Amino acid sequence: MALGDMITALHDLGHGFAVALLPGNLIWCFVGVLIGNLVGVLPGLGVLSTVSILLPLTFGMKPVAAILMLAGIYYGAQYGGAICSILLNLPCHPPHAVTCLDGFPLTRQGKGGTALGIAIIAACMGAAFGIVEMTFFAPVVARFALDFGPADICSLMLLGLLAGSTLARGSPLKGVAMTLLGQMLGLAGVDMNTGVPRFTFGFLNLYDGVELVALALGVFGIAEFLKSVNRIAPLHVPGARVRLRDLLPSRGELRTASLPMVRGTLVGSLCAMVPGTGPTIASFVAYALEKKLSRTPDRFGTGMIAGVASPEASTHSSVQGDFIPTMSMGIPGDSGMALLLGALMIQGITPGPLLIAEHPDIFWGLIASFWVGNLLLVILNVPLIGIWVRLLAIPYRVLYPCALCFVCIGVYSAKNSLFEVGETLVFGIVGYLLITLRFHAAPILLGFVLGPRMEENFRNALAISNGHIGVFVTRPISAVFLGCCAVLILAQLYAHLASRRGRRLGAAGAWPEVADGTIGVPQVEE
Amino acid sequence: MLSSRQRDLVSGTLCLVGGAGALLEAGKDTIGSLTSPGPGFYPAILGALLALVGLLIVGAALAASHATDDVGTEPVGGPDWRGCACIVGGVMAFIVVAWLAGLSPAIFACVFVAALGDRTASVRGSLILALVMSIVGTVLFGYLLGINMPLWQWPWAT
Repeated sequence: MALGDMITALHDLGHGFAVALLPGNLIWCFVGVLIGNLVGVLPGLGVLSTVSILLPLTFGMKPVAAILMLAGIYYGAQYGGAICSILLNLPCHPPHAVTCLDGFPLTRQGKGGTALGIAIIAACMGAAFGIVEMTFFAPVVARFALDFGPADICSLMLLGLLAGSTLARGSPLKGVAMTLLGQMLGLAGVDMNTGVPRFTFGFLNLYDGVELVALALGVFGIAEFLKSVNRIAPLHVPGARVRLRDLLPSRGELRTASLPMVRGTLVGSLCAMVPGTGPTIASFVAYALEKKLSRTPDRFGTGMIAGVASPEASTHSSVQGDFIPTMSMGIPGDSGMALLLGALMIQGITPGPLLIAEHPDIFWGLIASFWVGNLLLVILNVPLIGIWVRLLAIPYRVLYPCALCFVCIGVYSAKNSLFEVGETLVFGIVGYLLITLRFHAAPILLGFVLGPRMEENFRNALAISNGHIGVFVTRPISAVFLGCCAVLILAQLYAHLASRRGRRLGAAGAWPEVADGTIGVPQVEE
Repeated sequence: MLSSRQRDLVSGTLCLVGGAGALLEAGKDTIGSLTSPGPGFYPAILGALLALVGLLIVGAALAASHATDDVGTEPVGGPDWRGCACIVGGVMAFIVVAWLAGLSPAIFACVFVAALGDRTASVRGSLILALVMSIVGTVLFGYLLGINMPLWQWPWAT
C-alpha cells in the first residue's frame, strides 16, 4: 500500500477520535462495553440476544452513538467470556470454550490470576492488531469493491453465505438449509419492484417484512431459554478470589506467552479475512495450531500458558477484523455482524463500499472507539474481575424470567406493536425445534440480512445482461468468487468423504475436544 | 429421543416439505423468465434449493453406515415440558395483559408465569421476582426510556 494512503488513513483516524471522544459518544461506548462485559460473564445471556434487546432502544439515538454502543457490546463480551472460562471452567461464550482447556487447570494450580493477566494482554494485542488492520485495510478493500457490478456483488454474497453456513461447526448441509430459510424470511413482505406481497400468508402486519429484532430474539433469545430452562445447575462459585497483584505475569511466563500470542493474532486476522469464519473458529484453529507446533503437545490441557494466550489473541483479533468486510463491503462475516449491519440499515445507512466515503463519522468514529473501548475494557476488567465473578452466582431461575420480559418489551418497542411479540414467540418455538434437530440458528440471520440485497443484485445483474445467466461467469471478479464457492464445496465434500473413510481424518478430527458435560450454557451463536 | 439418523431423516424431510411449500407459494406469483424475472423468480430458486438440500440430507442419512451426527454440537435433551410451557405462557401472558391492561401488569404477568417454569421455583418467590421486575421495568422503560405503551389502563372500568 502506498505511503500516501497510510497518511490519509491516519488523518481520517484523527477525525475518528474527534468523533469518538465527543462526550455523548464516549458515554455510549462506555455503556456498550460495560454491558458487553457483563453479558460476557453472565451465563445464559448471549451477545446476540443482548444486542437485539437493545437494538430498538437505539432507534432514537444518533447513528454514530448507536453503532458505537452496539459494537461495544459485541467486543466487550469477549473480555467477559475469558473470565468464566479460566476461573470456572464455564464456556459461557463459544469463542472462549477452548480457553477452558488450559485456563482452568491453571486456576486449579492457583495461577488463575496469571492466566487472566495473560488473557488480558493477549486480548489487547489481538485487538490492537485487528484494529490497525481495519484502519489501513478496510479503505483499500472498499475502493476495490467500488468496481463491483451487481453480478460480482451477488457472487460475493453467495460466497459469504456459503462460507458462513458451511464453515461453522455442525453439518454443512443443515447450515445451507438455514441460510435458505433465512433468505426466505428476508423476502417476506411486499416486493419492492412489483408491489406483490410474498410469503405473508395473509397477515397485513407482515407486509413490511419480518422484523429483524423479532427474528433475532426468537431464535437466539426465546429458543435459548426453552433449551436451557431447568438444565442449568446453580453454580457454586468457589473462592475464586483474584487479587490485582496476581494478574501480573512473571517475566518468564510472558516470554512463554509472547510467540503464541503473535501466532494467535495472525490466525485470528486470517480468519477474519475469510467470510463466515468468526472468532469461534479462529480460537479453535489457534489452539490446534499451538498444540501442533509445541514440543510438548501432550502437556496441553494441563495448564499451558500458550493454550490460553494463543486462542485469546486470535479471538480478539478476529472479532475486530470481522468488522472489515462488514464495514467496507457490507458483507457480514457472522451473525453478530449481520445484526450490526441490520442496525445500520435501520438507521437509514446503506452498507457497502460507499459507507466509508459517505459516512466517515461512523466508520472512523467506530475505529477510534475500538481503541477507546478496548482501553476502557482493560481498565474495567482489572479491578472489577472480583465483582464479575460474584455476578456469576445469579441463578438462572432469576435470570431467564427477567430476560424474557426484556425480550418482550424490546420487540414491542421495535414497532410499537404486539403482533411482533407473537412473531417472536413463533420464531422462538420454531428455533427451538430446529435446535433439537441440530440445525444451527446462526446462518438464519446471515441469510435474512443478505437475502433481499442478494435478490436485488441478482435481478439487476440479469437486467443489465439482458437475461444472460452467463454474466456470473464471464465477469472476471464474479467468476473468481464463484470459483471460491466451488472450491469450498469441493473441500467440504472431500472432508466428508475423508471422515467417512477414517473417522479421525476429516476436518472434524482437528477440533480440540471440549468437555461437553461442563458447559453451563451452550450458546448457538458462532 | 431420536437417534441421530432419525433426526437427519426428519430434518431432511422438513427441508424438503418447506422447500416444496415455498416453491408452491412462489408459483402463485409471476415467476417470469431470465430476461424479465417476476416477483416469484428468486423465491422459486430458494424453494427449489431448499428442497434439494432436504433431499441431500435424507440421502446422506440413508447412505451413512454410521451416525452422521454433527461433530461438536452440544447435546440437546428432550424438551423440559414444564419450563417450555411456562416460557411460552409467559410471552402469551405479556401479549394479552399488555393489550388489556398496559405495561406494568404485563411485565408482572410475564415474569410470574415464566418464573414458575423452574422446578425449584415457589409461588411466593415468583411473585416477589415479578413484583421487583415490574417496578424496575416500569421505571426503566416507562419513565426513563419512554416506551410507547400505557403503563396502566383499565378500559373496562370506565
